[in-house]
Amino acid sequence: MILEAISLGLSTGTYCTMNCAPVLIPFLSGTDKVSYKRNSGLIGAFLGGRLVMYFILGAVFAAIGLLVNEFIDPVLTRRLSVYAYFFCGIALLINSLGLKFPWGCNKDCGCKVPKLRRLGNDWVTAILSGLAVGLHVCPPLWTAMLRSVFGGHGLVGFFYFIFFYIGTLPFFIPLFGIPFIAKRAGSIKRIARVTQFCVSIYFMIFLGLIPMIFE
Amino acid sequence: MISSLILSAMMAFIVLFFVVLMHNFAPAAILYALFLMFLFIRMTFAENKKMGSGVIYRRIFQTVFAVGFCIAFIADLIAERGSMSITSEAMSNSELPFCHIAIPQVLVPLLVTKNIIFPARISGHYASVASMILIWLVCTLTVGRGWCSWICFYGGWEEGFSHVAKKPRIKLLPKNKELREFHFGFMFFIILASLCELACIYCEWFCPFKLVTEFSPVNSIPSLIATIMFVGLFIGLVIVLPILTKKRTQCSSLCPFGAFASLTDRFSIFQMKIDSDKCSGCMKCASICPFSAIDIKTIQEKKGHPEITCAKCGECVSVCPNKAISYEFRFNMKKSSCSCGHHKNPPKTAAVRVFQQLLHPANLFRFAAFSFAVIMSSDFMIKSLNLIAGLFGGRK
Amino acid sequence: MIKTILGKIRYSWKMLTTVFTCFFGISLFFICSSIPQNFFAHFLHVDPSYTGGLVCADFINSSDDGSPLLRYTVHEPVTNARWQQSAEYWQLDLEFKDKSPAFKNINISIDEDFELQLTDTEGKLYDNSGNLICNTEYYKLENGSLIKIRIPLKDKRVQKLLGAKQTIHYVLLDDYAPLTIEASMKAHKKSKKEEAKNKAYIQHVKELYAEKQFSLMTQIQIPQGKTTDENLSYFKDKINTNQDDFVSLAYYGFWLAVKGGESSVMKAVALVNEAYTYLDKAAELAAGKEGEIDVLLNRASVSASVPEQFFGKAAVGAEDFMRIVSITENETLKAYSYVMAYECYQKCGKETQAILDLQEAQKMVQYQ
Repeated sequence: MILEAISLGLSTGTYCTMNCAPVLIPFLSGTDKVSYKRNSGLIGAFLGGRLVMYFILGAVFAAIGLLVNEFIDPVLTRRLSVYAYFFCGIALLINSLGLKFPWGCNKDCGCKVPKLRRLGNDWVTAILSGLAVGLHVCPPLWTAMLRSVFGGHGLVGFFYFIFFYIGTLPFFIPLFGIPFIAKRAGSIKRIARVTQFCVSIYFMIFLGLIPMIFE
Repeated sequence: MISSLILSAMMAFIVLFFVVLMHNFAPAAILYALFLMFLFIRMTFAENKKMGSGVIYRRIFQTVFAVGFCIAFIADLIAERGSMSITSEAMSNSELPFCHIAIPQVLVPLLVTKNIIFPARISGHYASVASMILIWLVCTLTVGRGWCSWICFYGGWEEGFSHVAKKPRIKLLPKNKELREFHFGFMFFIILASLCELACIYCEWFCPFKLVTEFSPVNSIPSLIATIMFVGLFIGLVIVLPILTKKRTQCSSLCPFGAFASLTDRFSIFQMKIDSDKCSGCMKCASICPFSAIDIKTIQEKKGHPEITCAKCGECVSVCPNKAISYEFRFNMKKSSCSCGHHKNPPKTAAVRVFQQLLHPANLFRFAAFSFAVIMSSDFMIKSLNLIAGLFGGRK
Repeated sequence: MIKTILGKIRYSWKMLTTVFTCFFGISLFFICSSIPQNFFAHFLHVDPSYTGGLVCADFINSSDDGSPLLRYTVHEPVTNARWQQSAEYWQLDLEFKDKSPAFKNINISIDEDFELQLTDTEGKLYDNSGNLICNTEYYKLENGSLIKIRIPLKDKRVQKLLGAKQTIHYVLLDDYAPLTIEASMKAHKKSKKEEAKNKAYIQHVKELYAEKQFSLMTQIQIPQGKTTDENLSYFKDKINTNQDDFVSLAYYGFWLAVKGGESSVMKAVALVNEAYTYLDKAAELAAGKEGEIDVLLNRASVSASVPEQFFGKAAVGAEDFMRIVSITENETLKAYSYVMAYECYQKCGKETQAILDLQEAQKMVQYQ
């Protein structure tokens, strides 16, 4: 059961990389204080947020019961992804405007919009974006949730899901090396902040608002 | 003089084969061959006389190619589909033309998913995935980012518009560094977002050249938004800003291929060299550089070469009063125990002088870049010449 | 001292490669680009969501009942497709023998739960009670010989197909006999063993053909053991004597192409183009006459050998080989022609036709 859950988690690797990379890579590369400890903490906060969202989804599945197969379909998961992008985009934009705008920041206050400084705090952003990214439901995640919620005894299902989640984690290991690259040149930080700003606008408008309103 | 003759003769063989012979001695092919030879001979002899004076011929070629490519490409599309817009049949049959700008967008997803995230033919067509990736690989190893200034059939539009005004109305030199940072930041955003979406998002939303190639039909609000964006970007970044700044603003701020080519340029044979001993710090090179590749710091810190975004266009060479900037082999730029590439004493015989001139990095680079340009452009230009002739012939 | 010498050697090597690359390398690359292109093409694949999804079932209709349907392909359902009309869809392909085939209706019953009705211009999906579920996307491609149907997976009833392991399709085209196809809903990989088997079979047929040394259909004496130039001179004399000697015209064209293959790249293109003027003239004169097979064999062999990228003659070659099949009575020659037509069709991307020709060849010549 453990091996099956882990290998199912490993099979989501591609999907995880695709959804988490645009969020995490520029976010971690553009932090003001670059250190391995802080970097690991931020990744942990992001993954924690993601895990919480998966538990929420699992609870919803359990509440709906076997009708889940009737309600949840590819069209609905695509709609969920639209909300995921929108909220993730907002979190990254607030962080960008509050703390990490690429240029023009006064060294003293350190941010463009002082009022967003607290809300745009790196730790808050990591958790919020983790929660948002957790809304992306890929087929292996779908399978893992169904098996853990409906597969058998409650505790067994719970552990099945935990091992599945552990199986998704190896793909985040390279992110722990980001400080090694970010420390080498100051321009990498600024470039990462430009990237984060562009990603936030793109997620919010092009992948969030436009599909939400027009599709 | 002799070296210029030899280079011209060698280029004549290439032009004869790829332009004239491959098109069965068609009148349009002969005309285009003559035009190419005129440009190359004038450029080579001008450079021989005065370093950097041949740059105008590069500009002429690239601008003419951009227009000719547009005519031929649109004609191809209309012949294939009946319109410039992308039809559902072409999309469903995976027959969209694959251009070089999509390359950085598809490479990372290719590594992750082992698939090409663009609905194009894989091979058997000039705009197929395999052919464009191969061309990019060969270009990277030879001229590097010189593609942007010598070959790119999109950049020619900006090349032309950036030389309309005599003086720049907006001076971008103080913002060169920010421009470069934005360029790379945008490129990484494009790469990551394309990985996330498994689609080429630059092609979907941000490419201004859809106006002169192909575009999605406007049949929904999102497609209307995309249309407004690409028309706006073309007018703004390809026409208006190049006229106002005399820079290639789209190439140096938005094009993901340009930024990507800057990163891979380290594998090319050639590099621009700035001789710090000869440099007087006049900053004329920085003002004229269309790719924002020279800053005040580049000169003050005596880096010895332009910044990473240099596209080897040669504009800086043409304005430098002290001949401090030149093309150089990348392997000569590194310190080594052998000072083989540095000829301190003048050549003893005429033959040796001719030989040295022939193998001069500037001559080799121009020859390689022009060969590439000749081969890439021949089909399109001959087609467009035939179309134009047909148009005038039809009217009579 | 040694370091300096090594440094000089390294520098000389770098200069040599740089000079060669700049003067000759780029031109050579473009001349020979079809080789690396074909190599890359084996490894590169477009994301299946753009092309209709991975193929899970492929049925080739080799029956002789006159049905215009050649091939029926079932793809894996696609979800989250980008740039497509429907983000979730299921694609079915119908390939026909002729361009713009005449048919009134095609009814496809899927698992007895759904009925897909196709006309010349549109497709509709109904449930088993006859209620319309949705209109399908309908694409007519390749001059009407290929119809692609995409069933949108928005309706809950159709979404059940996403979880199906197998579906059964009853394809009824007008009044022809219905076809029953059991389609797995999971994509299968092409067996490498099957490809190797095909390769070995093709090699066997070519060897068989070479052994038999076909006797000529005409009275002409073909010189043996002469050089290319001698052969050219021989046939040129023959042509000068009789301008309408189509066999000599064909052989002259053939040897011109051979000379092109032996010459430099610049000459090769001119020679091959010239060769085709003779070959085409010979084919025109030989139509329906004795000796046509020789002429067609010459032209088809040249078409099969020249680079497709430059000359684009694979389709012409395939047609010539098929014409040989229709003229000759000899089984080995027929099999050889089918096999060569298979290779030509593969070159120009007509996979279905290629597979059919290989199947025909295998009916004539067996190989263990």
